[in-house]
Amino acid sequence: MKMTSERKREKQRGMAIFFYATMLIFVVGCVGLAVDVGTIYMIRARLVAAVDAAALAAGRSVNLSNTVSQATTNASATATQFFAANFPTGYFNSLGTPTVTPTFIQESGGNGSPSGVLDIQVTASVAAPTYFMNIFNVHSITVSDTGVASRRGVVMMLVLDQSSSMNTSADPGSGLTACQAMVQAAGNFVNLFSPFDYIGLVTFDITAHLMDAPSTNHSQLSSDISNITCGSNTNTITALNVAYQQLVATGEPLALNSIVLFTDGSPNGITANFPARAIADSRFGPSLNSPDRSQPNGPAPPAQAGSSNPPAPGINNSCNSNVGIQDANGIWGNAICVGMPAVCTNASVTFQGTISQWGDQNSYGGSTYGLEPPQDGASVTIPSSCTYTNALAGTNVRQFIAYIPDTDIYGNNLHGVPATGSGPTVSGGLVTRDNWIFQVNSLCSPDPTVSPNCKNTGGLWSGFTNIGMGFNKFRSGTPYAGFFRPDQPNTVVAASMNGTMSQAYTIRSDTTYHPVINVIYLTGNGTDSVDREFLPIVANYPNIPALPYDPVSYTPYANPAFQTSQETGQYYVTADRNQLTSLFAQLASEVLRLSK
Amino acid sequence: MQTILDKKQMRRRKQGGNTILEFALVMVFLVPMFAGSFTIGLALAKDIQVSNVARDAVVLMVRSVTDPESGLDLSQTQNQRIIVRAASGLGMNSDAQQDPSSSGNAVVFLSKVVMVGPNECSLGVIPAPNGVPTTTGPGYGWNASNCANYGLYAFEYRVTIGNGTRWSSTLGSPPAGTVQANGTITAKNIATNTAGQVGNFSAVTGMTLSPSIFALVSEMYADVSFLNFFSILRNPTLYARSIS
Repeated sequence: MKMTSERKREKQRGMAIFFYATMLIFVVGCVGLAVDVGTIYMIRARLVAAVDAAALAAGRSVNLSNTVSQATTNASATATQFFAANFPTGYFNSLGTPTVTPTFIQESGGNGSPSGVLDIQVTASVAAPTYFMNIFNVHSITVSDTGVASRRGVVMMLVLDQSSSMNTSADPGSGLTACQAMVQAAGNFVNLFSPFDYIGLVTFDITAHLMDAPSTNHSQLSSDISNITCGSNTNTITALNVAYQQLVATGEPLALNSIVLFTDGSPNGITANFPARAIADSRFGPSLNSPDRSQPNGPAPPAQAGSSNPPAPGINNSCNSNVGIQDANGIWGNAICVGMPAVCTNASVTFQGTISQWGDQNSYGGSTYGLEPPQDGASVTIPSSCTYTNALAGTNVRQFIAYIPDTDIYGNNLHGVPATGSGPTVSGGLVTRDNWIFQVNSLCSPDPTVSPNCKNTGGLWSGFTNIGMGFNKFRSGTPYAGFFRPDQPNTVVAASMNGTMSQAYTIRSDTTYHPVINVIYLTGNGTDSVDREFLPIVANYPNIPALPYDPVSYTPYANPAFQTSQETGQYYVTADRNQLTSLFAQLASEVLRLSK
Repeated sequence: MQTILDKKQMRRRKQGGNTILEFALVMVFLVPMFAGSFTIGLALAKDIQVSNVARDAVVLMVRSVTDPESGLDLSQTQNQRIIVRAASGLGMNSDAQQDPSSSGNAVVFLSKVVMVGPNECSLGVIPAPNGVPTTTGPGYGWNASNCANYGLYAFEYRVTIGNGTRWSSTLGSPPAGTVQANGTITAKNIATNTAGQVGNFSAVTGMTLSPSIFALVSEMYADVSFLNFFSILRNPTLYARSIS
């Protein structure tokens, strides 16, 4: 047995070498495969990181151009550059120069229309070397990967105030009026956006003008901005409404839908179905051979409806059930109430159009103005049952309309917006200007360069019992008790502010488009007062920042109408028109940051 | 038979010493080879980890810097733990809850570098430094003189996580005092502080940025000398950079 065993061993001697040689082929093959696969793995890992970085960078760079072709060229160059920074040529002995190909794809919604999201897709490939697979004539393996960055598009409406208060004298430094400074700043602003972004333009005075529907062609927009001239009043409510309708019409719910409102002060236009005045009452009137010295030779009161003879005007102070009519500066006699006959026979008919403040924000009379079309193409409706309809335009409007209704034609509450906090402007659950008087509480800026250096900041009428009417509404005992009076500029501004805040609230309530309202406020123009809360509320800014007139010790307080469920916008305030370019640039930076 | 068996036994006895000798000889080569394989293998694994941490950090930075409302403030320790946790095993933490250690074995530098353009100058030169208009018309308020960093690279952001005293960023550092608590640098310093320039940005990254375009750079250093048996690695420090 032992002999047999020894022989067997001797016979098996060559087998060990054979097995070893055979095993070596597999071992070497496995080792070679491990080395080659490991190399490919290392290269691919870096490639994935590099295409992701390239896609992100390309997405950022599409804002650098004015045309889509330029944008794609720039984005391609940026993608290549960022790819190379993360994946150097020859990394891990990779062969040749990697190819980098960016592609731009507009995502579509369920109905096939653009959703507002732009995908920037970067595909890169590179040849990975092989070491052991060379034996099998495989000299390289192509490794490729695709990175995708999604850029939220921008649909933005610029809403620019071109009211007459923007027509200031030229700045001694820049040589620009406020209107020109706004034009320059807005022009620069548009250039900061991508040609993939939709931008439109609404300008407004007493009428809102839709200059450009949102479009990716910004050249016409730039031209329209450069041609803006300023004049007339401030119908902010309609302008916001027109802008919002354009956002909805563009129909990109996943885009950043944004309104950028630039204004230099208080709104003073209300568009509503105003009830006809069919009851004679006593109200402020530009009449009586200029008892109001700011209205020389004003028109006489109208005749009683159905009569051809104008009545003998009677002067009385029955508008004022409070105290003598005296303005904030203690000047008497600047406003006269007249017994004013009714000019309409049917109280159920309405005038549709826009009324506005005319002149100063007086709390003791002065002029209101109307009716004007709220926007281009709209008409003014005049009931035929009223007399003197041919004299309707201008300051006579107070003779024809009974009162300012509680809501405007857009459904906005002209008494304010729901309050979420407390404060002096909160009343009856609303943040409201119902009880507000504007031409009081003068503050002077701690910065001597602010011009004008002092401005009225307004206050509650209850704190100023010796000034003016003491109230924005018709008093009890009068035919239209409880309604806003249309014959007092202070009231028109108060109702306009309420309506503007309400319009902004309505826009931000849209849960499909989630619009953001950003505001730039230039305080420095004209004699109009400044308001601390109004525009931060429009923007839904979390707190109420200081005005340029507030003392250094001013502490911001919580926005009493802040809505946590609605989008928060940016709010910038300045008294210096020369800062507008910077503020617009800052806003662009914020908008683009949110869109990335 | 007996004779043949005895001869074989004697031969085996003689070979007994040879086996030990051969084993010893083989081990002289095998031990360094295994140690080298172990070191290089682990170092490779750690290198991949360092690269991944740098990449993760830059992704977090994209979110943090471009969307402050995300609340992902990387200057806050609780947010830095995300990065420290990704660097587990590299000696970056100071405690079990993954707080970064200022004397540990690793560091991550997060930088945002911008090519200062008209936007940065507009934002940084408000109003003109002396309060007096410097020019008129377009570009009012700033010019190449009062916006000293115009056309140059400058730091906009810097956060250092970990042992920032042992290593320094290849891009350099913004001047002390200009970096705010949350890592940002004021618009004024970006536009006007020449000490905040990143002179070697193109040399380091090979990139050229257009005006107002920024790059987010994450760099990580890690000391892996703890796995450097027989000092096989000449420089046991790993470095990775990710740019987005």
